[in-house]
Formats: sequence, C-alpha cells, structure tokens
Amino acid sequence: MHAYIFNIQRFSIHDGPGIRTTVFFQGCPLQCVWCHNAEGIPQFLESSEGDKIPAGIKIYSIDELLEEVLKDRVFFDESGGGVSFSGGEPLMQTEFLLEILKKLRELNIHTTVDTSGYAPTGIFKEVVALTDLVLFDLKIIDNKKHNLYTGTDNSLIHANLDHLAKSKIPFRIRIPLVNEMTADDENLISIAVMLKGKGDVDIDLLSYHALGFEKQQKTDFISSNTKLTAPGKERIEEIRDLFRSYDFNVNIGG
Amino acid sequence: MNSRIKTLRQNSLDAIPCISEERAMLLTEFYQKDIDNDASIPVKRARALSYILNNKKIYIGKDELIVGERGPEPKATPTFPEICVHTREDLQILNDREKVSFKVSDKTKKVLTTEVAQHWAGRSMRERIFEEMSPEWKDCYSAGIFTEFLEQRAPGHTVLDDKIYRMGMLDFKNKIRGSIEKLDLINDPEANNKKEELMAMDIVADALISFALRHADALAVLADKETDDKKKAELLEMEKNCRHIPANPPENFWQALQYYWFVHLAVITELNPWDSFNPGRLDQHLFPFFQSEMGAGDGGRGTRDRGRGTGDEGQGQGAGGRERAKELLQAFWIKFNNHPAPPKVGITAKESNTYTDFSLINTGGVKADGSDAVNELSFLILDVIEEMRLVQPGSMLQVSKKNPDAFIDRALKIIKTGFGQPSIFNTDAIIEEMLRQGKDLVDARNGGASGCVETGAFGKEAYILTGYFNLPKVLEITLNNGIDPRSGKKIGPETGNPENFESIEGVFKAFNIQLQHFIDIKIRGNNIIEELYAKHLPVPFLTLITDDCIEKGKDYNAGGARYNTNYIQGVGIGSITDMISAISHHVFDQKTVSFAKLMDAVKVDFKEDEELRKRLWTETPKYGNDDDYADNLMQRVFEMYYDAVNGRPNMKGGHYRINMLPTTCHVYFGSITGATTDGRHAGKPLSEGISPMQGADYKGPTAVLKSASKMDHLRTGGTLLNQKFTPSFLEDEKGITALRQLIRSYFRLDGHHIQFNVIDADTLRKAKNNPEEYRDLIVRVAGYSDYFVDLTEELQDEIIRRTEHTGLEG
Repeated sequence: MHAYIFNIQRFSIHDGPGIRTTVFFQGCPLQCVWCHNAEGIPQFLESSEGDKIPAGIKIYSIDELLEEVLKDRVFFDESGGGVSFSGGEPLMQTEFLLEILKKLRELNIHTTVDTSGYAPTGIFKEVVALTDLVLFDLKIIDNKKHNLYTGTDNSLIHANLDHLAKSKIPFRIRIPLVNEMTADDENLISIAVMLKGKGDVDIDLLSYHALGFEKQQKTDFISSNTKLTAPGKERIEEIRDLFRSYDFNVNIGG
Repeated sequence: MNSRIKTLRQNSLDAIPCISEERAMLLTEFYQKDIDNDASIPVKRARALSYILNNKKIYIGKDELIVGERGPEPKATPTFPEICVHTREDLQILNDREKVSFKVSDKTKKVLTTEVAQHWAGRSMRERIFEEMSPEWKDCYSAGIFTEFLEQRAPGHTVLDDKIYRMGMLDFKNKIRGSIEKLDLINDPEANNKKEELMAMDIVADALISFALRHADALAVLADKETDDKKKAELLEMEKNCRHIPANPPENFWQALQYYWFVHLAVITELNPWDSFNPGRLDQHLFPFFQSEMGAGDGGRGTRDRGRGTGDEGQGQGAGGRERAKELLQAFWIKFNNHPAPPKVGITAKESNTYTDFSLINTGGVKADGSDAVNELSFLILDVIEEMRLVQPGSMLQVSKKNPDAFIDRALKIIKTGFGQPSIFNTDAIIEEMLRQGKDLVDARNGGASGCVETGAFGKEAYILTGYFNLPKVLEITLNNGIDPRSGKKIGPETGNPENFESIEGVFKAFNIQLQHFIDIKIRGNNIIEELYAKHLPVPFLTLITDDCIEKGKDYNAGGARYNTNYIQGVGIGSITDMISAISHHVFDQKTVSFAKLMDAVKVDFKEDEELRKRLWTETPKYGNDDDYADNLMQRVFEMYYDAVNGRPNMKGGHYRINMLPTTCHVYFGSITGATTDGRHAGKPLSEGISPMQGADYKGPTAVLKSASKMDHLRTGGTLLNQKFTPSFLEDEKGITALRQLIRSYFRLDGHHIQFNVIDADTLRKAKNNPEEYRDLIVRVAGYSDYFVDLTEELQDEIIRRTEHTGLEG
C-alpha cells in the first residue's frame, strides 16, 4: 500500500494542538480558485507503471511514512502535538489514510485530518472515527457559487458535517476568507446559520494569502482571471465578531 | 527605567573605547622601582597589583550607584604588557580598524611604545610563547589548524561562587593565616613555595580593602561638597558601603553588588583573563539580601531611609524594595558595559572579534539540594535584562526540568524582541556533564555555564580554553596527503592519495591519523604554555577566591583549583560532516564523480565545474535534517575528536575535555580553508558551533535539534546551537509556547544549549547598509550577543544567510 505525498512539513503549529508534522496528500476533488496548495490538486491514484510522477511528489509505504512522522515524536510528547493529514484531500487515498491513522492510534499519537468534507459518507465516517481532531473546511453555502469556485457540489459536504457534529468526535470548522468569494456577509451568515445547532463549534478564520496565488499561477492547474484579495485586519475582526454573536468560539489563524 | 539609569546607560553607550596607558605605566614603574629583587614571583605579582590599585585614578561618575573602573574612566581600556607588548603598528591598527577599534592618543602611543615597550620587550608572555613553540606548532598555527588562546590573554575562564557574600577579605586573611600555620616546613618540600603563594594572596586581600577605601575617601569628598541633602545622604551611604566591604561580608543588597564589583575589577586588573570574570548565579547569591530588601527582616540596617522614595507611599515596603533592587542591578549592569574586552590583535582578534568580554550572568537552575532554584529575583533579573538591552553583561537562563514554564516564557518574551539574550541552557545536562568529569554533585548543581557555553563548577574550577581546532582544515589536509594546499607546505603525515581510497573508511582512517598528529602538536605546545604561566604569571587574586587554592597553597595557574580542566574547542562539525557525506554519497555510493575529478574541481574552487558544485551543495545528505546518513557521519567525527582529546592529562593534575563552540573563529577558519567537497567556496565561513552549515538545513527546527542531539552532549563541556526565527513567528502566544516546547524537547534529548536570533533578513540588510540607523541592533553571534553594526562584513553576511525558520501555516 502506497500513498502519493507532495510535502511533509515538520514543526507545524497551526494544524492542531502542539508541535505537529503535517503530511500533505496528493490529489483533491475540489479545485478551489484560491487554493494555496494547488500543486496538490492533480491525482495520481490510478498511476500505473510508466506514468511519470511529477517532481516533488513522493511515494511512501505505510512503514516509510510512519518512520518519517515518528522522527518528531519527542516534540509531540513534549507539546501535546502529533501528526496532521492535509492535502490535497487526504480522504481520497482512503485505505492508506485509514491504515496510518490506525497505526498512530495504536502508538497513542494524536492525529488531525484536515478535510474538505467531500468524500462518500461511508468513508468519511470510517476516517473520522480514527481521528482525534477533524479540521473541517467550510467554504460557500450557496451551491451554485460553490460549484463555480470549487468545481463541486456541496450537498455531500453538508451531509458529512451533519454526521460529524452528531458523532461527538472533536472538530473545528475552518473558513478560508477570500473577499471576492467567501468573505461576504451573505455567505458568512449562511455558514453561521448552518452551524447553529451543531453544539459547541470552534471556528478558525483563515485569511487567504497571496503566496497561494503565486504558486497557483505557476502550476497552471486552475485558470482564473479573477484578482483575489484577502480581507484586511479590521474586516477579519468584524467577521470574528459576527461569528461570536452566534456564540461560536472564534480563532483568527490556524 | 528611571531617568538616572537612563542617563547612566546612555553615557555608557556613548563612551568611546580607547586605550589607556595607566595600568601599563604603573606596572612598569613598579617593576623598575621595586628594589626587593629577592621576592618570589607570586609576591612580586601581588605587590604589583597592589601598586596599581593604590595608585590608579579613582573614577566616580555622576549619579553612579556602583563605583569603580578598571581604567581612569569608562571604556578606557588597559594593556597588559607582561603578556603582550603592542607595537606602534598594533596600536595604529587598533586605532584605525573599522570594527572593534580603540582610540589611541599620541601620548598613549608614545608611552606604550617607549618606556613600556623597552621594559617588557623580551619578557612578555607572547614573546616567550612564540620563542618556545616548535616549528611544527608554528606551521600549524599559521596554517590555521588551531588558534592559541593564551598568546594575548591569560587563563581564566572561570566564575565566582557565593563565597564573597559570606566572607570579607579579613576572613580570607584569617583563612590564609590558618593555612600558613599548618605548613609543614620540615617535611613538605613545597612548603616554602606555598608560603610565598599564601603571602601573595594576603597582600592582594589587603590591596582590595585599600582600593575600596580610596573610593570611600573620594566619596566622602564628594559628599562634603554636595549641597542637595538627598544626594549627600546617598554619597555617604556609598562611602559607608566602601568602608564596610570588602573587608567584611556584605550586609545588604547594595553592598553585595559593590563587593562583587571590586572583586571583578581586581581580577581583570591583575591580568586580562579570558571571559573577564563573572558573578555566576546572581539570583541565588543575592536572594537573601533581596528578601531583606523586600522588607522581610530588614532589621534597621539603615539603608532603607535613602530618601529617594518617589511615590513609594502606599505600595508597601515590598514594591519600593523591589524597585530599588532593580535600580541597583541596572547600575551594576552598566558597569559591565563600561568594560570592553582588552584589545586583541592578529589571529586572536579574528577568533574573538568583539568588545564583549563574556561575563555571563546565570539565572535559574537548581539549588544545592537539587530543587527548583527559580525565585522572584530570577524574574527581576529578567526585567533588568529586558530594560537594559546591553551587550554586556551577557545573560543566560539555566533551565532544569524542575523549573516552571512561566520562567522560560518570560525569557522568550525578551528573546522575541530580537536582542539575542538570554541564551538557554540545560541545567540537567550541565550537571551530568560535570558528574561524568568526576565532580561532586553539589559542586555541579552550584555550577553552570560561562563564557559562550562552557560548563564549570563555579568558584572551584579552572577550566581553560586553549584554542579552537579546525576540523574541516584537517580533512582538507587529509585529502591532500598531508599538504596544506594554501601554502603548499607539508604539515601532516602522508596518509595516502585520496584517489586510492576504496571506501569512505579509507577517508576516516587517514583523517584519524592526521587528527591525532595535530592534537598531539597542540597539546605538546599547551604543556609548555601552561608551565610558562604557572612560573611567570601567577594570579594571587584569582587564586584567593578560587577553592581550594588557599588550602593547597597553590596558584590558580598552577593547579590550585579543586578542578582543573583544559579544553580544545572543535569548530566546523557541520561543515566536515557535509564534506564527508558528499564524498561518501557522490564518489562511493552513487559513483557519479571520481575522487580525482572531485579533488581537481575543489582545487580550482569549482571554477570549471559549477554544475558539480551545485550538485554537491544541493544533492548531498546534509547534517541538520535529521537524516541518519549524514548524522551518523557527524557522530563518527565527533567520536574521533573526543577520543583524540578527552582524558589526556594536563599540567595541573586535571584532564583535557572537548567542547564545540566557535565564537567568531568559524569565519577565520573558513577564510584559510579552500573550497570543500560539500560545494562550499574557498574562504567562506565554516559552520558555527554544532549548527548546520548555513543554508544546509531545510527541514525546520525540529530536524536541526534532532540532528544536533545525535551528538553525545553529556561527554562534552559545552556545545553551541544557534537558531534563527523571524519576529512574525513569535508574535502570538502559540509561537512562544511552541518555542518553549522546542527547548524542552531538545533538553529532553540532552541538548546543552540553544540560542535564538529573532530578526528578519531584510532588517539585517538594511542595518548593514545604514549602520547609523541601527546602532542599537543586537544579534546573537555565537555564544554571545553583539551590536550588528560592529560585526565585520563577512560576519554580517553570514548572519543574514543563516536559515530563517518560520512556522508554515497549514
């Protein structure tokens, strides 16, 4: 069993508690216009012999990946950290993800999975059951716009979020803020309304950063002529206050 | 800080370092006048110190709270002609050089190059050393295999414990008397020498008392003239302090600081020992006085009514006491800043190119019984460090697993301001290092680190750094079959043409033979130098205050201390690891380049093969990335170096140990080392301390710490690891917490020391181009902090290049 991984970032401190190692899985079903990890979008899941794997993507077996992420175990222990799975969409490489989550649980190492929520519900349920903290991205409530900016339908995402909220598995909602697409009041209020009634919800507001756009232009996977901008500091605080008015715990940044 | 401290601090910053002829003149005068030619060398040296202290100008600055200067005024820096006679050219260089310069007036130049030079020519330690060293030693020295620490500065490298806070000089004199009475003049062949040494100690104890009394007299005159009642009372109090200490043990916080300061001055006037001197565990030594100051058991000692109370009312004694303790500490801090390191020239200036004189105040750690030593004063000292923002004294945090997180977090909030202080040390590792060296557990717990990162039993150990050792250069010579390619001279044994090596084992085998050869040369030279110091330059004052010199009747420089350790400091472990890794990976594993071709490319600094250089630079498994391939090679070099040095006897009855620190020597060593097989260009700096080669690490700080911890720190006497963070990383609590956890993890892995530079490269570039606008920018160089604009251009560039680790957002 192998996984396609485009980056392993040690000393991550914004993908869950403590000092973490974040594993970025290759391949994503969404094609968000603002994606700052756009090199992780293309899939190589069905790669057969002879397929050329682009530079930067590495193939790991379970044991190899385990060895790599365990290198920082002393830092995990000291900080209450652990391993984070991100991407791309980690759930797309289901079997591998389930296996590595199982191994890490046996070793008593804290895990987070950062997901778009776009996965068959059966798979989603299996994965979150093995995860200590789910980082659930929520982008656009209006399905038409969601389709336009991410290339996918959001009803599956919402169904999975429903399941997650009922499951008692700890989760955080992550909202990427892009002025032109997600950070308008209409969308944000819709998110707040949807989250209402899902218990104690923690929200991370992630400001779009221009770095992603530069990388994206280089990768060519998504073409967009729209100029994207990030909300300013004051606007972010306004947004924070908006969510607070719905009694959510809000955190700016990861 | 209050306006008084602000002014004192500014005055200190504004004072321009200059050379003073005062000490050299007085010393020369003494030796010319001294008619008692039969007196022993220690007694003469003692009388000479006494003569200087009794005749030097007494300086008392306006509004000072702690008094005493080594020179006639702040930053007026003496020379030590008994060690190094400066030539006209030396003085011109000191005056003219762009960095770390000292103004030399025409008058000073004249005096130093005539009367002083005439008397000391042929008698100075520097001349004696170069006269005694073998041709092989000189070849190695000029090739840059090693440096010689003791050719311009005296052995020292030590720290005071708590004894002066319990004992006045009169108590020391009593102890000396007891020791003299116990001498066995019939059966002990050493008894007469011991008696001379003890008499010398007695003379310098008196000298310190009279030095303080001279200050008391000057203060009395000032008080007499003072019309402002408050100021008058203060001057009288200071007079009283100088009459009470150092003859008697201090009775309050103020006297304790003043006493230490007089002791400090005596040590750095007697000779110019490396790392000046150091009060060590200040938060421990001063804590009882601090508690009294805070109101508990003040007992009407009369210091409380100093009458400067500005709004103390209603705050209770505690707050007023705290403010006053802080003010006194700040005044004390400024005194260190007034004292630049003695002027250095030649290679010694290159290996330690700084005004900083490495006084390193220790805070935190554990008590003698092993319990958490962090107290309220520890935190107050951190406040002082933050407010003073001075390069001198240096400061460090001793962190034991028993110390609270809040203590580290407080320090990180200072570090994040980009000041480079305090550095962070692992108390538990320091204790284990000392136990391994055979020291007593309590002595180990009462010790710490000094200088850059050196482990020591404070008040009880002479731990002498003898010189830096250039590991990459030794490999360069190995790869050239014993020849130094820079000079073409054969200085090492023939260990074979590298083209004939069949595996990396061949390289290691040849390297080990070269290593032994050069270490032997260094130690043979050290033995002679140690004896020269023991014979010609005893230091009765430093001896007086170091255990167990009085009991033994033996000088500090002759083995009087309880523990006597010699160090040879290894430099460039990161570079040499990458060099060997490149050979192993590209020549033997991948076979993508032949050894011959690699050596040809290195010889011409890759001028004809930039493609190969890039490949070596970017495609070699490198130290600092938690990659066992490279890290195992690092371990092998470390073990060889350890085996070559550790455990060998020195001349004082102690042993050689290793430590891994560079000060600024990695720049000098780099400048005389040609291109290297890791793709480094000729002349560029080597890696510093145990940090990875600049730019070689790309997997973030946890990987660097893992790599570094694969070295067995507990078998060293100190290692130095430098990490750089941008300020943005430390903006929020999350960053601070992560950094603390990083420190704790590294220390769990037995890491010895870590220091952080928090600064962004752009700021540094701006500072380099507009030095005037960045006078106050302090950066961590290597084991010490310095003003960025005072660094040489190479060093500035290197600091800019050092990898910036930033936490990436997920």
